[in-house]
Order: sequence, then C-alpha cells, then structure tokens
Amino acid sequence: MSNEAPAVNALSGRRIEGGLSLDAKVAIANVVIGDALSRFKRPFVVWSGGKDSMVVLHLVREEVKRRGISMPPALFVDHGMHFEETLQFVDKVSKDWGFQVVVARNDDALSHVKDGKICLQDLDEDNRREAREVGFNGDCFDYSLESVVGNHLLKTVAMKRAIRRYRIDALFVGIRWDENPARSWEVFISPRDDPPHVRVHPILPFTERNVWDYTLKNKLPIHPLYAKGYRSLDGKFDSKKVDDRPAWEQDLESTRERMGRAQDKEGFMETLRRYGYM
Amino acid sequence: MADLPDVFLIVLDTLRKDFLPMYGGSTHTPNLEALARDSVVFQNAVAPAPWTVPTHISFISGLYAREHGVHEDEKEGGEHILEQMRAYDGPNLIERLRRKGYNAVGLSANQFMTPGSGFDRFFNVFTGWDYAPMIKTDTSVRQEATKYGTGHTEIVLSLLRRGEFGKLLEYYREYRRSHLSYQKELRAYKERGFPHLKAARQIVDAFTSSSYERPLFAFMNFMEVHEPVTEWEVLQQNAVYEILDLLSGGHVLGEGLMREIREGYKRALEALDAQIGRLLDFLRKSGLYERSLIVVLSDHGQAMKEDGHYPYYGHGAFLYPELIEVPLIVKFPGNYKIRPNEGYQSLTAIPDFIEGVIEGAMRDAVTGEVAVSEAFGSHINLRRWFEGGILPREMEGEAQRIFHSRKVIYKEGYKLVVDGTLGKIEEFKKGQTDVSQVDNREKLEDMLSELELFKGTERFIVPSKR
Repeated sequence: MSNEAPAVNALSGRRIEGGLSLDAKVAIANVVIGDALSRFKRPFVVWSGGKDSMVVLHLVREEVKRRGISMPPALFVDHGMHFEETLQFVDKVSKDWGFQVVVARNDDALSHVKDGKICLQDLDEDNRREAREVGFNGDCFDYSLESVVGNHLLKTVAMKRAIRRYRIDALFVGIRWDENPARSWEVFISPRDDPPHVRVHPILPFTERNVWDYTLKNKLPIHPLYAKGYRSLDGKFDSKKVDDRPAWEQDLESTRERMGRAQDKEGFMETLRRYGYM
Repeated sequence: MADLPDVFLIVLDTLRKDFLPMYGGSTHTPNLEALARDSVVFQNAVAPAPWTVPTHISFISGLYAREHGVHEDEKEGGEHILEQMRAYDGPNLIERLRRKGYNAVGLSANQFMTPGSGFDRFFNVFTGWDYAPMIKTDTSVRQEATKYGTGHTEIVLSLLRRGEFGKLLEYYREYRRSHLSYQKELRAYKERGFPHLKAARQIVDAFTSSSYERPLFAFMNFMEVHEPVTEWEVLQQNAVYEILDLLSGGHVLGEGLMREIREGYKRALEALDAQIGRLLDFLRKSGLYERSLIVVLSDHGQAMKEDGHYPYYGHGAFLYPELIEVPLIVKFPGNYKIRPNEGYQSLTAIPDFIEGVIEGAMRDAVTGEVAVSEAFGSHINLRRWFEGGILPREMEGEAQRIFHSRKVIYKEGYKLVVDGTLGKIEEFKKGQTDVSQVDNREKLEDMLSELELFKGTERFIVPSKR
C-alpha cells in the first residue's frame, strides 16, 4: 500500500490536498484572489484574527500591492463572546497594516440577552424568521455559539446584515478543505443568493500545517492565544485548548483541530453552511 | 393571482420636491395633495443619480449606477448609454413581477425610455410619445457647417473665401428654413400660449381607454416639468444654450429669464397635476384606486441657478439638493398608513419595497440608515462639442469642472459630497447648513469611511481622514 494521504479520508470525510507544495498552493490562492479583485466591485475580507483569515488577509494585501489598488476592508463578526486578546489583536493589526475594519453585529439579538438566554418574542421580525428557518421551534435559546440557532443568529445573520448594509458583492473567506467534511466540496468562488454575493475561498487546498508554515515564513502577526496552546479560536466559552505547546508545535496531523468545539460535531457544520455560514 | 394589487410606478420626470406643497412648496397641485392624504409622504428620498437613465435602471435593479453599469462616465459622457441599457441583464423587478403573473405596461414621454431604447424590452407592452414641440433641423448641414466656423458670419465668410458656393446655398436654405419655423412656432405660442403639457394628456388618454389584463404593473413617465418649460428655451433650442450656460458660469441665462423658467416649471407642474387627477379619477371610478399600490416619485430634480451653487440650469454633473432630493409619495393597497423609520429613502430600495408590499409586508422597507447618489460628469459629451467646433476652446477649462466623478452620502442628518477626481470635499452639511469640518471631525471621519466602503475598488479619491 502506498503511504500517500488519500484525497478524501474515508474515516473523517475530510479532503486533504497532500501533494501540492505550499508555493503551488500560494500561486493558486493568488490566481483566485486576482480573479475576484478584478471582477467584483466591493470585496471584503472576513477576518476573525484567527490563523486562517490572517493568512487570507496577508495574501489579499500582497495582491493589492502588486496591483496598486487599495486594500479591501475587513469584516469582523462580533458575537459578543470574543476573548479580550482577540479584540486587542484585531485593533493592533488593522492599525499597523492600515485597513478599515467593519464590525458585523446582530445588535437586536445581542441587546436582548437576559440571564444567558435570548428569547424570540423580544427579537425583530427578521431574526424570528431566521431562527424558524434553521429549525428552531422553542421560545428561548442559550446565548452561545454551540447551538445551530445561536451560531446562526449571532454570526451568520450578523454577516448577512452587513452584506446588505454595505452592499458587499464578494467576501474572502479562509475556509479549508481539510477542516471538516462540510467544507470538503467547497469551490474557490461560490455564488450565494441570500443575499446575492460570492464567497471567495483562496486557501481551500491549504492544510492546517500549511497555514502555520505560511504564517511563520512570512512572519505574520500571531494571535497570542495560539502560543498558549489554542488550535482554533472563536467564542471564549467554547474554544478550549488541549495542549500547552504553541499550536504550530503540536501534532496537527493526528489530532482534531476543533476538538471540544460544537463545530466538531457531526452534521453541525453542514447545517450551518446550508443556511449561509462559512 | 386575483388578490395581487395593481402597481403603479409613476415618474414625474425632473420634479424637485420643494415645489410641491407636501414638501413646503407653493404650486397649486390639488390632485397630488389628495393622493398624498391617502399616502405616506416620505421626506428624505434621494435619487441615486442626477439624471434619467441611471436612475431608471436603479428603479428596476435596486442597484446604484456603478453597480448596474448603465451610466455616463468622465470620458464619454452618456454617449453609449443606450447600448449599455440594451445590454443590461442584471436583477430586474419587472421580470420578477411578470413571473408572478403581472402584466407589465409602460407609457412614457421620455426620449430615453422609448420603444427600441432597450428599456421597453422589459415590458409586455411599451408605448412612447415624442413630446417635444421641438423644431427639427437638418443636422447634417449644420454639422458640416461647423467645420467652417463657430458663428454664422465666420461660416459664411469661410465658405465665400473657399469658393464653396454650393455649400453656401445649402447653408442659407437650412438657415432660412429653421428661421421660418422658429417664427411659425413663435406665432403659435403668441396665439395659444406656451403649451405646458407635453404628452401627459395622451398618456392618460391611452391608459384610460385601454383594457389591461390584471394584475397590472404600470410604469409611467411624465415629462411636463423637464425642460423646455418656456417658449424661449424652445426657440433657442434649449440644449445648446443649456450647455453654453453651464460652461460660461451662468452668463447666458439672465435672472429675468430664470424667473420665467421657474414660473414655467410651476405652470407645467400644475398642468401635470390636472392630468394626474384624471388618471386617479379613472382609477377611483373603476374601483381600482383603493386596492392599488401607487408610487409617485421623480428620477431627479432640476438646478435653477440656486445661490451658492454652480450657476446652471439643467441636471446632471452635480449633486446639489435641488438635483437629487426628490418627492416620494406611496399609496399602499387599502390606503394603509405606516410611520416611516428614521433615515433616508434611497430610490434603489424601490424594487424590494414594491415586491414586499405585493407579498403583503406593509412596512417601511424603503428607509435605510444611509443614502448615496453618484454623478460621473455631464451626460452630454462635451468633448464632441469642442471637437465639432461648436463650443469655443476657452470654455474647456470650465468643462473640466463638469467632467468629474462625484459621490454624496447622507447619514444621520449630515450630507457629504466628494469630488473623487480631485479627492476634494465639496459640501459638508448638517441639514441645509454648512458645518465646520474641524468641529464635526468625528462625524466627518465616519462619513468618509462610509464613502470609502461604498466606492470599493473604483478609482475614486476619498480625501484622507488625517
């Protein structure tokens, strides 16, 4: 038997591009980014301060420099549960690199958190409809990103509102094929219709290892929590670390990136994706 | 399908809101006022562009000019606008309504919205009227003559010197023919008065005498208040004088004439109001009024040499309030009333709004936090006029001022106009008053950021915040 990694891991369902060199993957990313920049009028980069979106931000920045155009703004989704370190990091990097950060927030949902819960009766019509659409039939749900309805309202709906408000036609997103089966069949430029826009995915073939190699090689700013052992960052209540070594020194190949996060649960990501998540 | 409301999108072309009593004006418009009593009168509507074509495509696409791509630009003016309109295949309200079973009917007196213009292809039936009591001139002879000089004397002398007697005779005949038709037209006005109606009567006649399949989507464009609104403009072939006036900093049209023009505009609006009255009466008598959605608006306003503004008469190029702050009167089905939200009504919201109401959502889907409008210079290609020798070269400097890319943003009571060709702030106002950029720094920075986000990848210089 060969020792090559299969294109799709039969057990995990994840797609792994194991043959291409990092340089080749970067070249692909540049083609994808260049195509989107030349065809769309109002591109934004979804940026959480995490390692993947940091790589996309850097690739976009390099491409706009080559083209002599201005840097697209970043879209930061504020679900109200970010680590203090994340907010500081986002602030510092955007100032150092000199680009505009637009915050996408579901203000209606965030202003109606009571005793750790959000109740539909308090929300606006659009939020109530969105909650029903993802199959939520209850009256209240926990203020958390760990449920489909929580993730959808606090992140996806916030993003959809920003897309409408700022008339965004293209969103650069740092998802990868190897993260999750739900992302394994994603394409480089993926048209969406609610609201109409495209998702641009330049680093689909990157593995988690590629992301760290690119980050270290190009000396990108690194969110401080990765050095403390976190592998995947989002809400402060659901991002857990399982190792104290810096993320890039951990055994990335045989342990799971989102261990301990709801996003690791089977089917969860697929449901989120269907309703407009990344 | 029977329960879908009929929809009327009525464009009162070139109507600025401040002439209407609902917006503080003093024109006698009893029929529009009666409609307004059954309607919601939106106070902060902003046209996405200061002239007809880009705005009309916004009405059906929900997009701004640079998004839908049908607009003039700094290089070409509006030369290719009809080609662009014919090529447009983006989001389309009328197409979606037709898929819902609507019968889309267009009736228009606008020279850009005619059968064959490209706009007509969205409709089941489209009828156009040539409104203008314009004197037809043999343009090929005139065009030819411009090669020899810019005025009659120069042309005649030049032709004599060259011994071009055939051409001279041709030119004389053309001159005499148009001169005689001017005289004839002038006598007609003296006898019957200036005709303030253009084609509104014919449009209303055509509509009221037809039997349409329902549900109906009716688009109407009335040109009454569009120039020319005085006999002087007609006789002097207003377009040329408009351009001359625009370029000469307003020296051509004197204050006396401007008073006449303002008066003519008012008379035209009154004449139009009477025809709108006939249309509404017809709807009432046929039992269609109550259940219909009637949207009355304008595609842009009209500059009439307002104090402190670039002194010209016409529209396009600039983003002054008289050019882009327009009326928006909405009569919901069942004469339902809503209270408008705080903010601005960008007319790019019209398609979503109409579709929402059809689906039964009686809410303010037209008001948003911000509204934008953009202009890319004049829709007339001035370069061609210079090259044709029609305009004196000395005016080219002024023409540069007109061929600029401009954008305006309205937000939280403030208005910011930027000339993106120079990267210069042209206007910063709170309400109608200029305010200090230093004292309102935070607000100004926020508005500049908004503009930066809006312009996206377009080459448009937003002044730096620091």
